[in-house]
Amino acid sequence: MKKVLTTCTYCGCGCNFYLQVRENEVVGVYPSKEHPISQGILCVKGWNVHEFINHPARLKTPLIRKNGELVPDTWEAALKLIEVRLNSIRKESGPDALAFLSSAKCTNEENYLMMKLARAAAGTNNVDHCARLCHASTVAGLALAFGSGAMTNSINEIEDCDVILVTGSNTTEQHPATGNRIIRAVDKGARLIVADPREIPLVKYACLHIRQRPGTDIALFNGMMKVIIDEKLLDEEYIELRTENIEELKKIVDKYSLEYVEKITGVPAADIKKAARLYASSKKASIIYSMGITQHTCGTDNVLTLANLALLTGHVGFPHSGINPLRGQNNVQGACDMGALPTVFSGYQALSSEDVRKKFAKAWGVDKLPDKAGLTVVEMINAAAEGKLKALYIMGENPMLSDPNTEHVEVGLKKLDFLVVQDIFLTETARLADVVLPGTSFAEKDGTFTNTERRIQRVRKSIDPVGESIPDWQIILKIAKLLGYDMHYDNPSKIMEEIASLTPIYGGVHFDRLKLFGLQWPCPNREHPGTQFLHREAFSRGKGKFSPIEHTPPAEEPDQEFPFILTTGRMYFQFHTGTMTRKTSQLHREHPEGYVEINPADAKALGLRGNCQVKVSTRRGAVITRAQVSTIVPEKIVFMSFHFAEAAANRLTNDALDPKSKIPEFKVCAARIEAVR
Amino acid sequence: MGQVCAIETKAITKDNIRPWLAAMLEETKVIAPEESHGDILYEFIDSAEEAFLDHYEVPPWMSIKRFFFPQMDTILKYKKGPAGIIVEPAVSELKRVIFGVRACDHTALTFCDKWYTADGLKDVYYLKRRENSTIINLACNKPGKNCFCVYADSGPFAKTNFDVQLVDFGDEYLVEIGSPKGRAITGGRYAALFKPAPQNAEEKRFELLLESKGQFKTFVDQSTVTDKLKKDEVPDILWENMAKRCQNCGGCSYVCPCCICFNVVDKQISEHEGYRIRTWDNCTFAGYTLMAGGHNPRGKQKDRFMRRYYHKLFYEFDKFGERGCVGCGRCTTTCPGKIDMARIARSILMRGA
Repeated sequence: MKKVLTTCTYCGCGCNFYLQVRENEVVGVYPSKEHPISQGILCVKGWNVHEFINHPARLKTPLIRKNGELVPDTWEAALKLIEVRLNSIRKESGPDALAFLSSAKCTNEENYLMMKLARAAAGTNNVDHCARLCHASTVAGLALAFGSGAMTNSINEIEDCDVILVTGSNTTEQHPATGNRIIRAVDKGARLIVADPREIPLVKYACLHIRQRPGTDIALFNGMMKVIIDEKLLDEEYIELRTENIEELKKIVDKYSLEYVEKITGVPAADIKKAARLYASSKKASIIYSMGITQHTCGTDNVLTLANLALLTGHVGFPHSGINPLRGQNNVQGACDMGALPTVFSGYQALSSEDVRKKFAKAWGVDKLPDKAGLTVVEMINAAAEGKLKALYIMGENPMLSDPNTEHVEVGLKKLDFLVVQDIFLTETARLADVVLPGTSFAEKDGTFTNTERRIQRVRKSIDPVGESIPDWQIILKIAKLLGYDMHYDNPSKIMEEIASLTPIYGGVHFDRLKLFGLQWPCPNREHPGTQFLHREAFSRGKGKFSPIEHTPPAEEPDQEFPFILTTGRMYFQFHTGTMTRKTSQLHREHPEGYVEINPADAKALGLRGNCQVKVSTRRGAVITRAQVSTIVPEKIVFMSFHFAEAAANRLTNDALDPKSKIPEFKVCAARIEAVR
Repeated sequence: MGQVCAIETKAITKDNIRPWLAAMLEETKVIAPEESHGDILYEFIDSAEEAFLDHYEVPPWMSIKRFFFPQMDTILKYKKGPAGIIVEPAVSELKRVIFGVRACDHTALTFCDKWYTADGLKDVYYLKRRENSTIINLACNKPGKNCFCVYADSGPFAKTNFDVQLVDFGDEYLVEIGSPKGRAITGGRYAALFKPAPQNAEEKRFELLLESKGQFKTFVDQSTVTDKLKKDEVPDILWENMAKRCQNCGGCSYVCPCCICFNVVDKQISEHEGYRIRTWDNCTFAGYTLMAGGHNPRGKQKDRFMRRYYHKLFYEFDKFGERGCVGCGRCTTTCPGKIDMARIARSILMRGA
């Protein structure tokens, strides 16, 4: 038996634990006591992470579709088929008929290789990943306001905040280690404001719970800003020295009187005032948000509004105060950093810059790189449905459950000429593939993950790949070769060396430096100790920029036919599409099936009893699930989690996009609830 | 207290510890404390050099429970063939010596023995591992900051039932041998590594024990708590307020050396083949008491949480005369809600009626 220290594969907190190995099987796990995030603590998913790794359902050989059925075959046959199909599609329809979905579950090195595969080998910028579905609006919004789209502070700073505003983040359930720091802060005397339509567990610790109607965040925060301006609680010195465009903001915000905001948001004027005063009059005030802010058609504007609020009060650029988007996946920060996005290379270096394209072309030994911006996740599906996209290569993602309007996703994926899925289990998406390649879990490979606070941490191999599976980075090398482009790396640390040489914010990141504490980017050179919090003294873009933002309603609002607002999210015991957690007995036992949360008053009006079957329908589809009658949701709002294929919430959600960041509106759509008799 | 339940005493110089481990490694598997990224952890060692023998804060992180009752353990394999279903139990036969076990973990093990043989049942998976293990205790001269074994009557020195107990005398260890298994690893081919116990051993041991007992920083009056639980003197609001801080991680029972609950599930490999595992469980999970029809006798967090402490501090005391807590303090480290044993006992004593 041996133990291997590695980084958790679930959420973005980046806890470190020891995997316990016996005869090439992972049989247990326990947290690192000395690690800065874990500190001897794990959430229930972390404590049970070992169980899915050697699960019998793991994919152990490639699968090829023959006569409509996926049957096991050799690597040789699978690769041959991919070679023939991808090359012929590229020849007939051009490189942009190909697209690649990278994975926030995979390592930095793998994401870097995937975007290199798309750009240098296939010759297209059609590369994206699930960050599009969670924080595309954060990356766009914070880049505009500050010049850098990541958490400004570190998780451990939260503990010493005076005021914490949590909005659109069910932190204790979705980012338990971070939620734990919020609780510690409250224990130490911090005041917590929760702005969330649902009564999430953190509300127990809050001094104020604001329940704005879903999709009215801009109005709420504009209202708070008006109070701050009217009561002269703004930080004039900070605004003068470190920001620009304040006058534009003031003009817009002026009309957001408390009465007006109350009408839009449903939040009592007194609460808005209280929140504004609390937030503005504390030095160490931090905003923590997640997908409740980002997953809207006004997602980028929501983020910009929060940035305005923080700039107005001088709450960015110091320890303990800042804006902190919590990234959902273990390595969604890293996948973005690595440029697995259709418009940037690694380190957010813009595709539109000719100098940048030349730099990468030279380093990668190609004549030139494509300059046309690629397709985003939902756009790929649309292009596939229209027949413009012919081939899709998916690594470690499950759009059949994770993307909005999944009936439409299915249409798109089925229309493709060729679909390759590389994963560890036969997911709902893999079932539709022409070829399935067995990748490896985080326990079977070396590499790095970057957590939500920009901390680059080691992932260490603890067991040999299961069956004939191959570490994902090695599969990508094979695919590149099939496309006529040779890449060679002895091991992931060599890939990181290349990343460091081409990516200024990762310039000083080398495996030999990644000890227990990892390194937080920006880390421009080998001597640099990493950066605990961003925008000290100056913003990445120079001055912090106010953006005047008007409230815009969601793409779909309730009406007579669909009278409820359906909002979606996650729960503590399951993770995303359940690929791993539903194969873990203890986690699955706690929450084996989906449900819809509905307020007792609504349930009574509809004649629903707790646990009874209900049909939830929207303009896009319908699912049957169970009613969970609870005051967690207010009246006229229902909530579903998207973990369960049998009651897939994303058959219902709206694929309307935020025009600025192309993130879909998962958080609001109009729905109808009916009893199933 | 103070009397030694050893059948024989010897001494060993500190320089001879690694040679002793090396000699044992020639014959058997050895588990010892190891240092890894700043954490002290029990693990199988391949060479004596891997053992961490310097002073470290006690107890090592994670108890030795998982070497007897693994977090996930395959207990049987099944296969359907032409001759019917073949079931093959998977019982570990591995022989091993565990070095450097602290009194709390050792007491916990003797407590678990009671569970795994209670009511005439014998848990073969656990008992076989127990039988195949020889345990070398290391008495604690300096308790850790969360330790309260002295109030749980389980330390800082083990009193009985040990195979071998080492007491740190500075340059050498006093070696107390308590069982035939202990004799086997201190006599015979190992005998040359040992010398006679020093003249004043008993007084010195007594002094060290007193000194150690004087250093505890965490005070937990378990017997008063048990008494209050027995008399039902803890107000509901106290339980409610504590339970509401529970984050449902399961950590308290996973780290607890006295927690023995498990869940059993089958994993199917194919239509004809599969295996059965048992995994650690936790009584604060709703699924732990959920019944098939959907009814949950302990549906509320408060009920589950309260029962956990009633069980540990009252029901088990009632059944075995021992509490299900040895004061190792690990739950103090791992509980994100800060509602671990020490804090709960303190709350009950301060506020409970």
